[in-house]
Amino acid sequence: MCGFKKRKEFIEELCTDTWMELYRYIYYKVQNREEAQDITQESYVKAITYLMNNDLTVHRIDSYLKCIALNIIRDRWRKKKKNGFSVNIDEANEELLATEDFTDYLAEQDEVEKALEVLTKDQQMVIRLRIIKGFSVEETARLMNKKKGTVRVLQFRALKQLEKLLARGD
Amino acid sequence: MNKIRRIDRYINTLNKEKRPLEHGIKAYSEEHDRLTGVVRRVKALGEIKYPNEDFEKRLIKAVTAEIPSGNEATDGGRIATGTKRSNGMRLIKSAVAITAAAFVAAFIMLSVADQCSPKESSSFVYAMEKAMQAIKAYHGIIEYSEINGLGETVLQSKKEVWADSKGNYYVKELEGVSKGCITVNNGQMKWQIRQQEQVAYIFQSFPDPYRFSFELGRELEDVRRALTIKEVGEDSISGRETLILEITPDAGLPYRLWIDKESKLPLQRESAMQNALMYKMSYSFIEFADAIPDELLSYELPAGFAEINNSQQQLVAGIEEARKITGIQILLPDKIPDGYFLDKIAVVKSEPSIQLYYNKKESIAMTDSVQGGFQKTNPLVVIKGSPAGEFKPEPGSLLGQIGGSRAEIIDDGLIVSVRWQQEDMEYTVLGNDSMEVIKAFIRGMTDGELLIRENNRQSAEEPQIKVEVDFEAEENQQKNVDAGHSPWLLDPVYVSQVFASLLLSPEGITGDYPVPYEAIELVENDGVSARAVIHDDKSVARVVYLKRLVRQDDTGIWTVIGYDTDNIK
Repeated sequence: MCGFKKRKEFIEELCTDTWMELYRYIYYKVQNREEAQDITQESYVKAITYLMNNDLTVHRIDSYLKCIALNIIRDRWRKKKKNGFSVNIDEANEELLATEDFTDYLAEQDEVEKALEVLTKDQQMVIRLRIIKGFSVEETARLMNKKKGTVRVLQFRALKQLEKLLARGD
Repeated sequence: MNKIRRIDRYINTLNKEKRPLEHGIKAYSEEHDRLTGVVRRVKALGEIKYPNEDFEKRLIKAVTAEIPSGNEATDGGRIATGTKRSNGMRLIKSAVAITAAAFVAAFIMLSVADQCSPKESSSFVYAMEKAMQAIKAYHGIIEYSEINGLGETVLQSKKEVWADSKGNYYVKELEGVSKGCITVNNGQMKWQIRQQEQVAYIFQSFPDPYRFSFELGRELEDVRRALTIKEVGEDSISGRETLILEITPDAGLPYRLWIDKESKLPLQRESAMQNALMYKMSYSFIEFADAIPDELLSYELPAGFAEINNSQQQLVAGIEEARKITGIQILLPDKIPDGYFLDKIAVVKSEPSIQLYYNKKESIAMTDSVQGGFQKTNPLVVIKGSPAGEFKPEPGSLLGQIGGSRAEIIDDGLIVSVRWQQEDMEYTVLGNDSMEVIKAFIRGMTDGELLIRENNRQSAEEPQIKVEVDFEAEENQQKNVDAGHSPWLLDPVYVSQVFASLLLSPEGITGDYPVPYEAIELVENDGVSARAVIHDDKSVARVVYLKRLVRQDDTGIWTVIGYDTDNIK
């Protein structure tokens, strides 16, 4: 009973201290709340189960959790291609993962913003309204005084253009 | 489905915060995969949508339940005895401690970054939250100054303040026009002793619109809502080393905050220069304590002072007494949310109304405090009174439904209030708690469910005549409103009035508006979209459709996007 209580307290402490940072990391990758919540939960279950069954030294729990989360995302998204792969948890570069979101994020944001600026005014508007602001096609069409079909085509072309610009920057 | 529609559907799914089929279930073309990747990269420029407040609790429960049950008794025992298998658990536990410190360290690390992303801003917030968790009460001296365009500083006022995590406070004016004035709220009552007038005023403890400027809990809330946080330098305040942050709030001009490097708490705040004036608030002294001294939270009328009781409420011993005094035959709610208890009952004879004050059990209050608030532990109040005339929601309030009746919902960022009429009674449930808790109290009062239209949902009604909108012009209008101009644009009723009046007088309006404000009824408002009906025969527009196009919160301006010339559909 005592052991169970300790385990419960441990899970509670671990989740309380780390979930927000982990959730932010996952949300950044998947860009939707439903999946981010789901993967956050799965990451803890996998991380704790793995630790229970392996003699493993973890120096940075935040990096370790992110590593597990990254594996889950990759596994899930690649299942459709029957080509699953995973990061080796034991060998993952924890330092790199820990700093990834703080350092790379700024450069990433900057790169996307710069690419957006290259688009035509209408393309920029459609991307900002539809994706960043989250308006529906109907609302975007009304705001831009265009037909819904035109908005969809404009949006598609803008994304194609962005893809090229971002690939060039890579 | 063609590729254009497919990418459109993907965007729609992400906008609804749902998992798209592409994320592990269905594969399309490589081109589609690349484009969905671009969509996610662009969407990452927007805000992170966090889970509901109870996510942490649900997460802990689910993880505890999902860890293989065979390990429950045995592995836990191994941890205690220190066998090899428990090794990992031990290491990870110590790592948690390291990680907690690492998060705070990240706060310092981030300071070298030039411009913080929303994600990094969250780390600033996290560091401040962590720091607030450790504080039970604090005592400080705050100086409020005005700085003119020449850089000259004039002290406006100086206050001695005490505040605690239960929401109690004590404020004494040391300098300024109200010198000597003492304001106290001890959770049971609020009073103000004015030395110059030799009068003590008594007020209701809750709701309490006044606290004091530069309260640490409030600063944390402001930083939490900030759009960006930028580190712009370092400084020394009263011998303490600080980081200077430039914060762009969700509304208004950027301001600067000096954060103590050691405690991670704000020590000084400076507004932007506007009309050649800026305002500075600074803690010249601050210390932390276990509690506010009892003598400061005890009311005693000073000798020779008159007492004016502005609180018309009268505490009663029980619900029976409340019924007798007011004539309102109510029953106490059958069910209240877990963790709450009925703290006291009060009546106001003149209305008449019965007020049921609930409070949180210690365990819940502690959880709130951990969530980083010095203001989240106030009691929740339920008021029940007889209706005063026809039910008229406040202009600008959100509208919902309870048991088929219209409900007015007001959320000022600190207190949520829901008011509605039902069976010849008017109910108000208010508190500085989550909407889920407020809804649970509503269910307990009436068995009714509060229904709020989903934000930004496409209205079922389409306007007969669409109004062309210049988005750039609207963005400029929003900037004007942020700077304090044209506040009427924040009121959907006023915007409807001006629009309907201009349809009648396109050349401009002189004198009174041809369509009176009182003739306009807001029939839908979910905070993003609204619909107003105009009860005035001479008005061309009979129904006006509005939307918050630039910013979808309380600080966003309303824009007319269409109107009907026929009566209500």
